[in-house]
Amino acid sequence: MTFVHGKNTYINLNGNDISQYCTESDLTREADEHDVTTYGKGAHVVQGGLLGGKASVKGVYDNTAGTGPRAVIRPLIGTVVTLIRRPEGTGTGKPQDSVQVHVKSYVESNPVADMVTWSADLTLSDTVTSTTQ
Amino acid sequence: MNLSEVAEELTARLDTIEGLRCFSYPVGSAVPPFAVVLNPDPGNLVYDATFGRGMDRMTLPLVVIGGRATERQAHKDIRAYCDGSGARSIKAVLESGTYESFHTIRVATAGVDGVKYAGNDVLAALFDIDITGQGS
Repeated sequence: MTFVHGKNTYINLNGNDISQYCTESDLTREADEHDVTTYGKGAHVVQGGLLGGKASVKGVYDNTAGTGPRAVIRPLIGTVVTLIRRPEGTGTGKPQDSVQVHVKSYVESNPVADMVTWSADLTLSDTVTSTTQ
Repeated sequence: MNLSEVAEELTARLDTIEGLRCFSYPVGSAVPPFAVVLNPDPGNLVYDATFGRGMDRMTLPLVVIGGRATERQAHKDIRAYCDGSGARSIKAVLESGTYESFHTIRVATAGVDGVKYAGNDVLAALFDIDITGQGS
């Protein structure tokens, strides 16, 4: 077992490799939680429900036509597309998560004394398929 | 980004300022005023600013050596290099250039200090240049 650096993380949205424009990414898997506590119990009793989750990606703005984050993500707002995330980078035997996501938001931020940055919030749609590359 | 290519491009751009000689390394001697693009201080060349070797970032120091600190004209000249605009403005000239070895440039800070050069106390303008470009 070894520690893994984040610099090789691979992000592909709707068939576009946007890794080189990304600085952070998160993939959150979660499940609904139903409270089934009944009379007489001294603590909550819960039961798992439907799976769900969200993802977020952020990075440095790049105006490369066709492949930059603005060109790729902005047209996808409101659509459901495929997100592929490789948390350890690309390579044989390394893990890969693939999931349909609803592109919920795309934000561009312009600080006066630094690079233009962007971020996108994605909602998972259906289950995550985790495989080995 | 290739550090040498970046330094050479900055030097070439600074050479367009009339009366200012520019070097991409610390020369042994030169007649002031002259500018030297220095190497990044330790920790100021940052790799992996984005995933997959997408972006690297560096802060390059630039020094402009002026005349003797006791001469009025020397102060006037060195201040002109620190101006925010104008033909001798380091910031204006560098940021208006077009470059191939990197993507963005911002002359972030400037200051004036007295330094010892060729046995004389001279004025120097010191700049920090923020540069980003392709990682690999």
